[in-house]
Amino acid sequence: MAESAIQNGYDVRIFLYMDGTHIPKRNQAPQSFPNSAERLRSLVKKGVKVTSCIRCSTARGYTCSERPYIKGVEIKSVYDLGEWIKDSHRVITLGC
Amino acid sequence: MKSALIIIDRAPYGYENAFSGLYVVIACLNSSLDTDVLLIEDGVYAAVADQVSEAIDYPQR
Repeated sequence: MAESAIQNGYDVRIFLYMDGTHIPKRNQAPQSFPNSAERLRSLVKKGVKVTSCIRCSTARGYTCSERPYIKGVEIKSVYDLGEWIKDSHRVITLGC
Repeated sequence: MKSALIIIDRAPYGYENAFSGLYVVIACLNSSLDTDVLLIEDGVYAAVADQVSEAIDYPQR
């Protein structure tokens, strides 16, 4: 969905919340399905801004290590999500 | 966007969702967005009066 939006000329930003904060974890090695962190990495390379919620990331232990996530993923507050929503034209919520 | 509708569709204590949804509401209000909350399905339990969430070390909703 994000790749399609980029191809159609949209700026895309992704805010990772709750269990979504597991997605950019380094060194994932799934055997029988695609590596979600690698897919996220390719989106970051295409200019997608990815931010992870600090409360959710901390609860899951990601803020204890120095480089928990792939390059380009910022860890910020949910208040930054409020600002993103404010200056976005469309907001899509995925998952539950 | 000028306004936001946050939909809460899960019961408050078994899942993180209702709690986290309300954090998003607070963030939206903090950014001066006109924010509404829709409680739907088991999300309606979040509005039940006289909850004693402290008994299980949860913040009061």
